Amino acid sequence: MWLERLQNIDRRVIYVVLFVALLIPMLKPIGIPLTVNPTTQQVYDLIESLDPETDIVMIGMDYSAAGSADVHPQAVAVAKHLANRGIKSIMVAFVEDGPMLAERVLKSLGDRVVYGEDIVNLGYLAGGESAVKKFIEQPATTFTRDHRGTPVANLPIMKNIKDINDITLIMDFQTGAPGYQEYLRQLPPGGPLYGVGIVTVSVPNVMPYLNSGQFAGLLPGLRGGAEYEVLLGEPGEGLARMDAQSLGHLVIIAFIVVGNVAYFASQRKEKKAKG
Amino acid sequence: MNVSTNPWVWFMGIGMLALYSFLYKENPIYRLFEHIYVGASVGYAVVTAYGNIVDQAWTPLTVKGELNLIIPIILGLMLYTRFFKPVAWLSRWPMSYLMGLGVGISIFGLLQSQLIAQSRAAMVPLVVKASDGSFLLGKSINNIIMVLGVLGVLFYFFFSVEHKGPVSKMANFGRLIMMVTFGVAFGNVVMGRISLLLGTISDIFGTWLGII
Repeated sequence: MWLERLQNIDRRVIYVVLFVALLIPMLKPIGIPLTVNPTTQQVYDLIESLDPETDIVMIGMDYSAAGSADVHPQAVAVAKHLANRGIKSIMVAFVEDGPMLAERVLKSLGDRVVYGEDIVNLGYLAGGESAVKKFIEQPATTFTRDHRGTPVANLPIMKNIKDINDITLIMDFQTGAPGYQEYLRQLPPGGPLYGVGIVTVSVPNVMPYLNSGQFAGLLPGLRGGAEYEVLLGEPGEGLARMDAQSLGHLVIIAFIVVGNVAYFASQRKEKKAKG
Repeated sequence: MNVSTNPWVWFMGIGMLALYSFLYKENPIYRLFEHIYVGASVGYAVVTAYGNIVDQAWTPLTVKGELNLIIPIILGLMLYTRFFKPVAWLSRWPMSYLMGLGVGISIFGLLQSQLIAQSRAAMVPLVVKASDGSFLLGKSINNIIMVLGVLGVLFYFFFSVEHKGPVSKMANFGRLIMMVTFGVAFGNVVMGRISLLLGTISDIFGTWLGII
């Protein structure tokens, strides 16, 4: 009887247990140690190697609000790193939510940057892959004004950009399309380096591109953001959620183990009863 | 406890709880906020689309005099004829153009980025040596598994030869690799969904109620 119950636990029980398991470490952090993966270290080292005098980074704000819980901490951490190093960046979005989320990133940077000189939010360009292609071919003239309505001609940072080769690195934060496939298809050979910050769900799909060298770096989901905060020495949203993430995984594993043990035990019991 | 006084934060918190109430059972409050969410998303999309049309089409045409934009603008307007039955057939022209454009701009890059580059990346040495000549066991094993995995999966989907004997063994190995891959993918999906739930908890208990 109880074996059957264990195999058919009401999903609402699972929801409540999972919710409690996630809430407790958020209220009272445990401090589980976090190791940094080589992929995150690779992105950090790449940005550390950039020259603030000559290098410009394009931050692709291609993640939606639905996936922002996974990707936003990464975007904030990388933007802070770029700002701390004095590296100029331009933020471009090919998804509708992008400019709004870019403004949230800018808010988190505070006084580290001077808008228009160190960083700019150019806004959203509709068209999917055609928009990506257009921007890569004409980065200086695609946008006539930024997201805040300032003409691009009045933005000092844009004076340094004539073509795509003036951008050293594209760090693209994304949750779907247009995303890495569109960029990889349109970027010219020998053009800017391309790094990606992506939702956890898509990490297995993009590992082949990291292994082949098509990605200069990869930040995997919320954990990537947390690891970057550790490297940066500035704990933020990502790190604050890691304890809860670990405990949540343990709960899921526990339920899977319980369900499987109950299943095999009931199978054994049936065989004994027959035999 | 530092509860937010921003009415929009309260709206966010109540909306989140309303949408999550679906986990218990469907109810009118959930339905209400679901419709509000859809409406707000569409409204935002319409406004951003309008901004794009003004910035990328209307302003260059009327202010800068870029007359070459007239044809794309006409094609774009023709898309809306699908809502009017007598002239709905006109929308097929710009739709066909868009489909051809989509294939055209992607196919060259697709061959390079997803076929050639990936094929080259799969051609790795099975015996890996360091610069000083020493044998690297870990990397060699990784490469062997990767090459055999690629071949196995290709064999699994190769139907011109009957799957028996060595072909069957290779195909079964490919299936095993795929099952492991699906498990990894599922694990990442679980991890991703927990991350999103943590974002919700942070918004409710942090931004709204000020407990975290």
